[in-house]
Amino acid sequence: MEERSSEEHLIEIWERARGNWHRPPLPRPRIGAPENGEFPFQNYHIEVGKDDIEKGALYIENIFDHLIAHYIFCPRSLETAANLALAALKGLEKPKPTRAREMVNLFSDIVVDTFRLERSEEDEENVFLGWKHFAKRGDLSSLDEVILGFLGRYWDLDLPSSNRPESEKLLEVFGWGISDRSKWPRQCQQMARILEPLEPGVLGQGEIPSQEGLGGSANVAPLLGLASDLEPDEYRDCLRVLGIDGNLKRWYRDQSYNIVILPSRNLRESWYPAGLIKWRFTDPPSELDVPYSLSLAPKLIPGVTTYRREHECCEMMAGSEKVPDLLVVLDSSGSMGGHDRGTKTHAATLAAFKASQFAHSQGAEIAAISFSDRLVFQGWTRDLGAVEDILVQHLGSRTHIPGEEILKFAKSRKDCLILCITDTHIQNLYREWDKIEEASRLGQFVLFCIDEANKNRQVEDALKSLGAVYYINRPEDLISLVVDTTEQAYRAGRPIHRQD
Amino acid sequence: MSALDKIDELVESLEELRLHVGQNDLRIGDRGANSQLYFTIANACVRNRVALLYGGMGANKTTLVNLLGCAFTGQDFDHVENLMVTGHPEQTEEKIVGFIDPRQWSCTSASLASSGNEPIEVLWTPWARSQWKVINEINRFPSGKQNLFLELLQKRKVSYAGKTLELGDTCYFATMNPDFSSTYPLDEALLDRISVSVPATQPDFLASLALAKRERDVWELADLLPRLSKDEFESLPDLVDQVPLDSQTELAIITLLRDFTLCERAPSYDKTQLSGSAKPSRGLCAECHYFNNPEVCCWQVDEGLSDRARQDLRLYTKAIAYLFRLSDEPKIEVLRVVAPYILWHRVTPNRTLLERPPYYGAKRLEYVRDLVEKSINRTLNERGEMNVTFARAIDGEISPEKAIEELSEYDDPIARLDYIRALERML
Amino acid sequence: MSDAYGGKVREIKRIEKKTGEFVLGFEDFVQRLGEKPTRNEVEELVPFSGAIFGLIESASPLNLREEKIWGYLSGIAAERSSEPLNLAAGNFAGAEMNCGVIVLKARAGMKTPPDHVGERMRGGRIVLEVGAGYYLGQEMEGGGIAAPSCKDYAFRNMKGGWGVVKGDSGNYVGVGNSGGNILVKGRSGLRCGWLMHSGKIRVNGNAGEYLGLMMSGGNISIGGMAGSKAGWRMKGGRIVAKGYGPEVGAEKVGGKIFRRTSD
Repeated sequence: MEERSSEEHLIEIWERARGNWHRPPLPRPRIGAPENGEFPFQNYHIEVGKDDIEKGALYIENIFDHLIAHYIFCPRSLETAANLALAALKGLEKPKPTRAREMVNLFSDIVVDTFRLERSEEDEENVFLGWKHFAKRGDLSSLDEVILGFLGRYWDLDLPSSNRPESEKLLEVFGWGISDRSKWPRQCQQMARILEPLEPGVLGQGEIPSQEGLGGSANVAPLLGLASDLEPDEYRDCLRVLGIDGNLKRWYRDQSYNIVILPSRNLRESWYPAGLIKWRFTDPPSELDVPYSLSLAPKLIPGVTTYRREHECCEMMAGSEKVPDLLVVLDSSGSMGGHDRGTKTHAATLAAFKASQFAHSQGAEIAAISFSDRLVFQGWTRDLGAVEDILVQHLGSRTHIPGEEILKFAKSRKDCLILCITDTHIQNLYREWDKIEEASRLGQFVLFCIDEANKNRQVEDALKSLGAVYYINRPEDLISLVVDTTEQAYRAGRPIHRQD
Repeated sequence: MSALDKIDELVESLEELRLHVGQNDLRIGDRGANSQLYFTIANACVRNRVALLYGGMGANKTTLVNLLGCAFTGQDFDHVENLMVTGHPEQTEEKIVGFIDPRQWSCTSASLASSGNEPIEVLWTPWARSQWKVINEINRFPSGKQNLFLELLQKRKVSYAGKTLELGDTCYFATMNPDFSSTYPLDEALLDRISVSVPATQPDFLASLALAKRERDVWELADLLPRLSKDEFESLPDLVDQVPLDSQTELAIITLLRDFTLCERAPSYDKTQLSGSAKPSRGLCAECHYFNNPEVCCWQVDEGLSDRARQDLRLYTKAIAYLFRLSDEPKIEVLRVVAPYILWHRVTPNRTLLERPPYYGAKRLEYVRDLVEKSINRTLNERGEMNVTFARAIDGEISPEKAIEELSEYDDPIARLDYIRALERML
Repeated sequence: MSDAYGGKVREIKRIEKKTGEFVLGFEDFVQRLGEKPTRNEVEELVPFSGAIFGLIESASPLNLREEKIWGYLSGIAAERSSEPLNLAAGNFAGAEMNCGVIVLKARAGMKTPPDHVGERMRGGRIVLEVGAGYYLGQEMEGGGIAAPSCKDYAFRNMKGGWGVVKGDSGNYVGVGNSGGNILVKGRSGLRCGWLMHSGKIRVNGNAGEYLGLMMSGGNISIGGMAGSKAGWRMKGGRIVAKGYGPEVGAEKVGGKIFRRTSD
C-alpha cells in the first residue's frame, strides 16, 4: 500500500517534470535498481532507485528533469551515444568499454545540466540544488571532486572548488559551449583524455540513456556512420560501451542499410471508361451508351444523338509476381583478405548481404555457399539470419569453387539467380567446369571477379559462355555492380543478359 | 446534454454494442482513445475536410464511417450506406455525380412551369447532395476519376452539363486498402487534399473476444446508437473553432512546417517547388551541410508541406482537444499526437532510413511521428534563444544587424534560411 | 514569442562561450591543414598563446601527415619557448627548427624509437634521452643533435650543424653529406660517409665495410679499424683509420687514405 502511494506520488512528480519539458512522450518511471551499464532486455524503462525517493519531491523532480533532458537532448539517440562512445574510446589511452561508458555519462551529464541551467533561472536553481546535494556525499573520489570544482567555476555557482589542473583543462573544453552537437565528439574525447588518470567515483555510473533503448530497438538500430568507418573489433568495442552485443553479422548488416536498391514498382495498364464521344454506325453496337444518349435527345440518331464511352489508360498496381530465388556463392579463401575494412572479403560480404536482404524483401528464398578448399552452406530458406551466418564465415586457405554444390542448388530451383563473387585465383575451375556450365543453364549465372589485373584472357573468354561476367579493379566497385545486377534481376523477372 | 456529451455517449455505445472495439492507441495525458474512431469523429466535427481510413480488409473502415453517419446525420444505416460511392474502374461521372434528366423530353415546358418547377435538367445523385460523403475504396478509382474528387474538393461545388451544385458544408470520408492488385496509385494532389489519414487496424485479442459476443447484425444495432440533432451536428464546427490554441502550439505548428519545407537547394528554399528528379531521394542533398544530420528533417522526406497542412494541423488539434475536453489546457501534447496523422500521407520518407530498423520499410506513420517529435522538441527546448532573438528584432527591440549577427551562430535551417533572410529584407 | 516559451528563455546568456576557430586539440588543428602542409602553413595557423604546448601534448599522430605536423609544431614550440622544451619523443621532432632546445624523453608505450628527428633543422639543439631511429638529422643545415644511439641513415644529406651519437650508430652515417660535423663515439655500421662531398665524420670505434664509398670530399677519421673495401671508388677527400680490411682503396681515383700510427 505504501509502495503504491509512493508510485502515485512518483507519477505526480513525473508528470510535473514532463510538463516542464512540454510533455515529451516518454514512458513513466518505475521504482527499482538501475542496472549497472548492461542493457536491460526485459524492461525498457526509466528506473528510479528507492534511495532517491526518500530524498524528497524537489530532489526527485530534479532527477526527472535531468533524465528527461538526456532523452530529448543529450545523447537523445543511440547514434549520438555511439559517436560519443567512440570519441571516449579514442581519448582514452587504455580504451576499456566500462571506462568509456563512464566518460560518456559524465560528458552527457555536464551537457544536460548546463543546458538546463542556461534555459531559465528556475532550472538553474534545480540544477544547483542537485549538485549541492551531491557535494555533501562523503564517498567522492578525485574525479568527482574535479568535476565539482570545474562545474562551480564553469557555472559560477557556489560548489566545492578543486585545485587540480584537470578542472582548468575542462574549462578549456567546455568553454566552447554545449549547444553545438558537432563539437560534442571532440569535447568528449578531450574530456576523456583529461580525466582518464583520475580514479572513477560516483559520477558516470549506469547505462547510457537513449530513445532507442527506451523504445526497445537499441539492439537492432543500425549505426551506419560508425559501422563503415570502424574495423569489426572497434565496432564491437563501441557497442560494448553502449551495453550492446555486436558481432560481425551486425557490422555488415549495419553497413548494408546504407546501400539502396530501388525495387521496381509493379504496374500494369488498365483501361477505364472516361468521357463520352459520338457513336457512329461503324462502332460496335455494344459500345452505344443508350441511357446517356436518350438523356440528351428523345430519339437516337446515329452519329448525331448517339454516344459511346471513350476509354483512357492509366497505371494500376499489378500485385505480386514470382521472383527468382537467390543463391549467393562467396569466396572466403585466404586470398580474399579476411574481414577487415577495404579487403576483398569486406566488399564481397557487404555486397552479398545487400543482395540477400533485397531478394528477401522481394519474397525470394535464399541459399548461400561460402567456400575455400572446403565449404559451408545454407539451403533454401527465408531465414535471412541463417544466410548471414554463412556469409560471415572466413574459411581461409585455397580457392576451390564448389561446382557440385552449385549445380545441386540450381537443380532444385530453376531460374534462380546465382551470384558468384570471387577473385580469379580459382584452382579447380576446369575440373568443375561442366557442373558450373550446367548450373548456368538452369539458372541466371553472374560471376564477379575481383582482380582484373590478373585476369587470364582464355579463362575470361571461357567464362563468358557461362553468363554475365564482371571484372572488377577495386573492391568498392563490386558493391555497385552487385546492386545493379540485383535490381535488374528483380525488375519484373527480366533475365540478366549474357555477354557476347 | 451537450453535443460533446452525446458524442461521449456515442463512443460508449459503439463499444457496448460491440460495433467498434479498438485499441486505445491515442494517448493524451492519462486518457486513451482509439485513433480510428476519434479521428473519424473529429472529421465529423469539422467541415470540408477529408479523413482517409487506411487499412486492410475487414478493419471496420466503411462500417464505422456509416455508423457515425447515422449518428451524426440522424439517418438510417441503410440510407447512409446507399449514399456511398465505391471505387471500381467502371464508375462513371454520371453514376457518381448526376446525369441529365431524361424526363425533359416527356414533360412540356408549360406543365413544368405551372407546377412551379424549373425545367428539370440535371438529376444529382444522392451522394452529390449529401452532407456526409463517403468515397469507399478511393484507390480503386482510376486516376482520371480521382481527378473528379479533386475538383470537387477544390471548388466545393460540382458541375455537370453546365449545371452547378453548391455542395455546402460537407463531411468527407474516404477508405482505402493498401496497394493490393487492382488498385491505382493515388494522385499526389489528391493526397494533399486529404487532411488526415488514420490506419485502421484489425482488432486485438481482447477486442476480438468482445466482437465475438456481438449477436445481432450491424444494421440492427445501428438503430440503438444515440443520434445528434441537426442543430447539434451543425453546431460542432463552431464549438471546435472556439477551442483556443496557445501560442506555444501555434509556434510549434509553424516551425514543424518549416522544418519539413525548407531546403537550401530548392527554389526560394521551398521544397514544394521541387519536381521531377530534383528531390532529396534523388541526390539533391549530396554534399549538403545538413545531409545525414539526424536533427534536421529536410533531407528525411521528399516533399515540403503546404499551408493546407498548417490549417489541418490547427483544425484537428482543436477538434481532438475538444473531444478530449482539453479546451483550457495547453495543446502541445495534442499536437504531438495529432500531427503524424496529418502529415504521414503527404510525404515520402527517405528510403534508406525507412528500410532500417525500427521501421523495416513498413512503419511510415512511426517514421513521421519521430520526425515530428524531433521538430517539436527542438523548437520548444533548443530554439528558444534563437526564436526570441528573431522576435525581438521584428518588434524593434534590437536592431536587425545585431539579430543577424546573433542568429548566424545557430546552425539551424530556420535561422539561416528564414529568419536571417527576413531580417535582411528589413535592412 | 515570449508567451510561447513561458519565461523559459533567458534574454541574457547565462554562460558566455568562446567564438572563433574551434581548436580543442591536435585533431582539430590537423583538420585545418591540407594534404601536405609546409612548415610555414603550420606556423600561420599556430596560436600565439601557450595553447601550442597543449596541442603538442594532446597529440597522438595517426599517420605520416600528422607526424610531420607534430614535428613542425614541436620545432615552433621550441623556438617560442624561453626554456628547453621537454617532450615525449615522436617522429619528426624538431623538424625544420630554427632555434631553441628540445629534450626528447621516452614516450610511454613507445614500441619503436623516433625516426626523422631534427629533419632539415636550421638551428637550435635537440637532445635525445632515448635512442634515435632512422634518418636522424636528415638534411639538417644547422644546429646540433645529441643522441645515445641511432639507426641507419643518420645525418643523411647533412649540409651544416653538428651531430653526436654517444653510442653506436647504424649503417650509412653521413651519406651524401655536403657539410657539418658528425661524431660517433661508439661503432658505425656499413658505408659510413658514402657519397660524401664535404664535412667531417669522426668514429671513435670501428667502422663497417665500404667506409667513404665514392666520396668526393670531406674528412673521415676512424679511431679503430675500418672494414673491407674502405675508400672504394673514392674521388676525393681524406680517410684516416688505425687499420683497414682487405681491398682498401680499390678502384680509387682520387683522395687520400692514411693509416694512423699513434692514438
